[in-house]
Amino acid sequence: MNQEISSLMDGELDTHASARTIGDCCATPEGKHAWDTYHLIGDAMRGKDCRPFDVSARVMAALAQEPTVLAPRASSASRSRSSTFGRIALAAAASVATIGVVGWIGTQGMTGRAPEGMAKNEAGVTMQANVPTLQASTPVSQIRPAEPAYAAIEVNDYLAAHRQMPSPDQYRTVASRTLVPAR
Amino acid sequence: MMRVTQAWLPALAFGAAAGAQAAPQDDPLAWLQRAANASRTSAYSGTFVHTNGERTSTVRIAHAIIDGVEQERVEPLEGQPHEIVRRGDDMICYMPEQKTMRLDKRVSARFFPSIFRGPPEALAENYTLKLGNQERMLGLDCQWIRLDPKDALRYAQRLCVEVTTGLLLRARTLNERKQVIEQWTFTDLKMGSQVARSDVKPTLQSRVKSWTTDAQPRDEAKGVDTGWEVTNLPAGYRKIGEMRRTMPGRQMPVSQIVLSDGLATISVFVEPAGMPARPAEAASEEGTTSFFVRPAGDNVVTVLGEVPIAAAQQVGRSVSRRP
Amino acid sequence: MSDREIDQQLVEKAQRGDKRAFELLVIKYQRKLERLLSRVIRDPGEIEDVAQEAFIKAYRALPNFRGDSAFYTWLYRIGINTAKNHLIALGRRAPTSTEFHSDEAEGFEDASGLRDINTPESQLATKQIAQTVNDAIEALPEELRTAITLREIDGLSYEEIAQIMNCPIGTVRSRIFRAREAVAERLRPQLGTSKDQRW
Repeated sequence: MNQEISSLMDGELDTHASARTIGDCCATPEGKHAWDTYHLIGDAMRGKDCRPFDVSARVMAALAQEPTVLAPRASSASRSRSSTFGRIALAAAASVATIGVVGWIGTQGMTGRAPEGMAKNEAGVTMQANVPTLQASTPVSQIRPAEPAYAAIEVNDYLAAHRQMPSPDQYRTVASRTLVPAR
Repeated sequence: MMRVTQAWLPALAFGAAAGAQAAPQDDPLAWLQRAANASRTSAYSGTFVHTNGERTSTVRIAHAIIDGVEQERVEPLEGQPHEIVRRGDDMICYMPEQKTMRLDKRVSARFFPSIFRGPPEALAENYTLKLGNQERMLGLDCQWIRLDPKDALRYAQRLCVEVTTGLLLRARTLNERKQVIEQWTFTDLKMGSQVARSDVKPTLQSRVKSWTTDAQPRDEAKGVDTGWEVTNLPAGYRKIGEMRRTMPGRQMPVSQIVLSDGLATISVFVEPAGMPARPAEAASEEGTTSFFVRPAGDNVVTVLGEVPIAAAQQVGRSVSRRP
Repeated sequence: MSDREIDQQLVEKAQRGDKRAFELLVIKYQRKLERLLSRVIRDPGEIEDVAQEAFIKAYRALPNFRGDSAFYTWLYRIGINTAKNHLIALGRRAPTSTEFHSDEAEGFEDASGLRDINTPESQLATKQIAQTVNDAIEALPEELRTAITLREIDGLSYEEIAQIMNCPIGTVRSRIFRAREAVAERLRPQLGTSKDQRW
């Protein structure tokens, strides 16, 4: 393994082997020590001061508390097939519990199937005035169990606000509630 | 190198310093400027398909300048029937099932083929611009333009513009592995004199005998000081809008700040936290859209954008009250 | 491959959330950062604090890193700014003779070598390290010494070294590795294995 660390630090490993070695190297104290020592040797050969200095343990301990900086990635296979916008896999910060909890967050009446993101009008709802409801103190959607009952995230609302396009979706109704004018 | 110059649209302003080096045909920035102009000034009518992650939607669009006024009709074909008809800055959204016409001012949001949210010159700071191949699409010659991000805060774009008018025919967003994660593409298209006046007129009006008009502003105040700011803007992003808007299910208006790098856009929402308050951050990506929620004292910050999650996180984590 | 390309690989992995790749960058550059910080901060405890803060800032700012400068140049700027802010917060000013130009980031080291912030023990230890390494290199079989010198002093790639030494690349790889292991073996008593002696 150390020979690979030696090649890695010279940039002489192919991408796949590099990735594997980075993982292996950092997984053990011996690996990290080899990485460190080999660099020290180069520094000494070039006449640099080799004063003892090691903050790596404290830096990495502090970073363990940091929320992980997630980088761009494609829709991964681990996310499930059908997706409407309502459905989100919530990946919480690394330092906090609930990781990878999958919840269905849908507007009332939605079947949760792609691609329509529009709610259907519930039968029997009277619309007194066609303005978006402003009064709903309870969340209008459900998250399936395995997730604490936090207020639901109405993704579609934010999406509509982000896209700034008017749509019937903004006129959805809440089941068995009559809309009141927003005055 | 000698080239035969073509007749370029006289309305083009290249904006380059005196003695611009590249011939227009070789300059990707010039192509982008043409594309930006074309969506505003050309006549076109057709259907495009938008795929994002695993979602698909189909939209009919028609656009023309008639008697000096820009007119447009947009009809998404999924979901409940509706169409948005625009004349200049005034938009009417016809929703026959709700029997409602919604009146609005023209939106500034990105909508294919008008995907630029700032002057194309600004893009060169954040993306490396290159010309790609030429290709034939829908019986038309088009030129690919490549925009590669200079950092991990935005996605790569591939734009294909028709060579005569500069109209964007296909736009793709790629992730860092160069996989296509979002695409808009025209599947049929008429241009120029083939576009009929009736293409930009409303068609759903006749479905409803008596329409209710909703003219209430959704954005309570635009250009307002919401009292919030993003202190650690990701490189290349500028604030392009700030407003308060009413949103369904909320008694108080929600503050919204919009950031853009000229192509990619991020919206930041700040509002009082619901009960029970979420204790932790949550992040998610779907196609190109990143979604990030973060509790902030008594408030909750929600970030949404066609950007890598890292950009959404950076924005969301640096939202604070303006001093 | 240049140092820049090697670092870019690590940076890209770290940007994708791989903290281990970032740790390798920390280990690689922490001594260099310390040499920089010690030009403006005297207290070793403070240097450690500032170095830690600089690395954390670098980690958070990673998505902004564009690769149009070398990673160390970028880290250097973060280190300088962190040090400046630290001094300002403490009501001190950086020594006026110190110049903070980024073109100094590469290769500029304090020529005076040992600094008076060092205890006599660490001064001695530093000298011993350098001595041990150079003695060990001298003692190597010639082909190992040549290989590692071409790599570390001349900065040549394995391919280039293979051409100069007229041997296969695999042999170069093996010789450089064996050279490093031989020197590391000699350093072992001095470096120790316990954490507080970690160099």
